[in-house]
Amino acid sequence: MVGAGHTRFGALAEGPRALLRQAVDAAVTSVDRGFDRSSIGEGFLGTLGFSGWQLGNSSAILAEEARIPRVPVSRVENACASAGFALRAAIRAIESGAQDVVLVAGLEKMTDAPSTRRRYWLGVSGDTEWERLAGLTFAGVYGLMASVYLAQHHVLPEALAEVAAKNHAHGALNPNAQFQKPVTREQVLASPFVADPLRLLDCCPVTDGAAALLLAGEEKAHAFTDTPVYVAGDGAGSDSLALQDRGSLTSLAATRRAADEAFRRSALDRSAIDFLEVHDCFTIAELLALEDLGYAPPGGAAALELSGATRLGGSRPVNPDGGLKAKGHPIGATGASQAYEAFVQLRGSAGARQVRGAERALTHNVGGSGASATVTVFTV
Amino acid sequence: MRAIIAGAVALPKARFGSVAVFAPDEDAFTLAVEAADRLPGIDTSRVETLHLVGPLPSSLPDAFPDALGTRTLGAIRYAPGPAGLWAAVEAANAGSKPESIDLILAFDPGRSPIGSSAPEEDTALAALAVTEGVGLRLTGRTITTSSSSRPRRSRTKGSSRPARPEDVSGTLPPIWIRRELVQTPDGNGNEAQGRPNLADRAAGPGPHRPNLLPIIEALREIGAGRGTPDAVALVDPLPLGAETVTFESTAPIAWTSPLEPASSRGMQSESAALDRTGSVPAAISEGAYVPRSTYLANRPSRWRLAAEECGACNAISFPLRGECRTCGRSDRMRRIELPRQGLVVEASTTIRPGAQPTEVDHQVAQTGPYSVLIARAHPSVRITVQLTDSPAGAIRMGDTVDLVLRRVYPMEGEWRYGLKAIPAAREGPPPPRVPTGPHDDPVGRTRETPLSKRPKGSRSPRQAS
Ligand SMILES: [Zn+2]
Repeated sequence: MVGAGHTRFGALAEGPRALLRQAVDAAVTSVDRGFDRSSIGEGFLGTLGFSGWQLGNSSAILAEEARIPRVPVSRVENACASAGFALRAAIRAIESGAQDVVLVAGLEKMTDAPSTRRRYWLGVSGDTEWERLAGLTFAGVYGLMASVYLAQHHVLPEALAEVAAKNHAHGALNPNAQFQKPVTREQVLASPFVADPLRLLDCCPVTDGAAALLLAGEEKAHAFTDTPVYVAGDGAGSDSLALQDRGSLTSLAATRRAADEAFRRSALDRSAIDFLEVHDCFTIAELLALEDLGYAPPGGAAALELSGATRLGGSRPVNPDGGLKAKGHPIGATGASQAYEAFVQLRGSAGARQVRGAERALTHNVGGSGASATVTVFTV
Repeated sequence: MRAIIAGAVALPKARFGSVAVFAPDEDAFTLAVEAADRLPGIDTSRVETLHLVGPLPSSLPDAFPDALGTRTLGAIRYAPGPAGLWAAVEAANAGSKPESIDLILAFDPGRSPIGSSAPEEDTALAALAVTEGVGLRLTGRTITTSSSSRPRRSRTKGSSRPARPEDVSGTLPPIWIRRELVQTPDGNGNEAQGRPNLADRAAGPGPHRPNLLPIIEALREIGAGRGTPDAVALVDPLPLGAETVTFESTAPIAWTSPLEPASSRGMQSESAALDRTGSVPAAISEGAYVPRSTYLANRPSRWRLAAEECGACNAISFPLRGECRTCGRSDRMRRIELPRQGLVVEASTTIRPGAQPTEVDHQVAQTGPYSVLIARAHPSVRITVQLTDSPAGAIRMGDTVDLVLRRVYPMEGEWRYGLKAIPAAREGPPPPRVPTGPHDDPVGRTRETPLSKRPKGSRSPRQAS
């Protein structure tokens, strides 16, 4: 990774094209020795196509706005993991030798849709017939998982509230975050229920934003910068669309498989990772992620969070950028945003939220309620 | 011979006060299915002939076999109201082999037929199930106003000749009945032969609107031990000219109501429910789309938990897919139904207003928060269902639930139906009410006074003079 760009996240005035342009421009500008767009051989756009503004062929917009008009581009869609899988496609394109330089972008423009259209789109990536039409959106599906998790492991809602409080504290240090204001556990626990036991402050917001990454093969990378960030290994996995069809209600098999593959490819131990960017669309998702990624035993993530180990300054910070919870979750952009955080952190340029001495990072991107997931390990 | 009747009725508030009897996600279709499900001792999958008495949108008659798990190809339809019911019972008597099971379902929609744009009418919603087709016989008294084949028309025009009472009892003359029947699934079979069509008359203009309330009321009285225990008198102006119809049973009639007062079901007031159940909500412009063909293909699994058992590896595949989900073989798949009673809840959440998908906006506007559960139907099968008939949050993990057919979401001008969960009955379905009157007679014991042995001219006390 030789360059990475990020727009502000939040309810933004810019439209989707402008967001894409901003992110790509920022990625180009971030390249230390300058970057000629004509070196890009292929592009991948992660986007759900939220609100249907350009549902088909939307990758053409990436070629236009990145000013690479004849370069082949493809849209990769795996719901919230779209950009994670776009990154994976880019890694394969370079690894295979087919391309030297590849552009990855993630984009979603969500806040300008009317509320009914938004609620429609917020659930399109779950199982339609059995889950959605039983009355579930993702808040409901994660609410089901949380109900089982709390009961099975005798965990109090405090642990969920701590995830939100911690990520808001981190988000307060991130100038790109949608929410840059701390909240207390008490505030989380006093917020209204959305899908019991999940409350409003357990849920990520609706967000506009884009992020872009420039990847180059190892030999080419040093032409762009002396301090590239390396992809040490990546992994991905799938699972049933509907929660009811999965083996466990409190573990994502897709994440487990993705993590195993990523660590195998990178030949690194889990203990070598300095910080994690995990997919916390709901607070419960961060607990499940820590367990499925192998950083806590089943039920053990709650205690890990409450111990403070996952805060900045702790032994292994989780979501130093504020996570989906505070930074925001523009669906198709999130996977690229997580990789952007690895880029700035591992180059020591994360500012107030810098994880001291960070040399290895893991990003974890989940599609829907766990039907797809990617894990990527980055090193300096 | 056995005669078992189960019924359900919803009464308009204007006439019967504030007893709530049905929930906003119920309608004539779901009540009829529930009434059939609650027939004691009857496996509806054994039903060979279905008789449907009542108006239905064209999409629903073919839905009954899937809802009841019968192997029938379709259903015979009759005009709404007592006349249609009469005809259906007679047809069941005439056509059945002694051992065959006919199932008659009768219902009136409380409101406009689903999908219609007609103004709502404040009438009753009812479901009535009669089984063992040879178990009921009819007696009746007709008043025909002329020899015309359209007595109602002449009567409503006010130019009719004086009424001419005509007693009918026992088995009605076959020719007479057949002339009045609508005997084919498309409702046109007899008309094609030049015979009067009952449906035409029932649907014709005039002040009369048939309904099943008197039947239901009479059955309720019998069930409660009041009135004549073995006969139901019906006093109702019938479209075909009959004024009084008496249904007589050759065995005790077990009356069960699947519906209970509002307070015990945690539902809203009946008037609120009535206000909200009439018609399909306006088309949803923003919502997930399930093509009708997909919905129809999944109906057996959605409605009765139809699944497949693999003879090669013993794995269960749900929903139906024609191929083993575990080993991939398709040559030894056996169709089964997973139990719909006593499922253990494994996960539960309550969806607060604003967190619901747009498809259930209409429901949230009516009833507010609702619970969604994941329940286990088999060691390898879970199902995701809404909780109904209970306040949100009333069911917790570890509790058991039963599954019932209810309205789930509207799409393309029709209601789509599916299973929802209700708290499990502690010991199976509720027992029939115990008779307490002078004619006290334990339900299920065979009565020794078949119709043929009754004195001639014997009439129910409620019969009109
Ligand atoms: Zn098999």
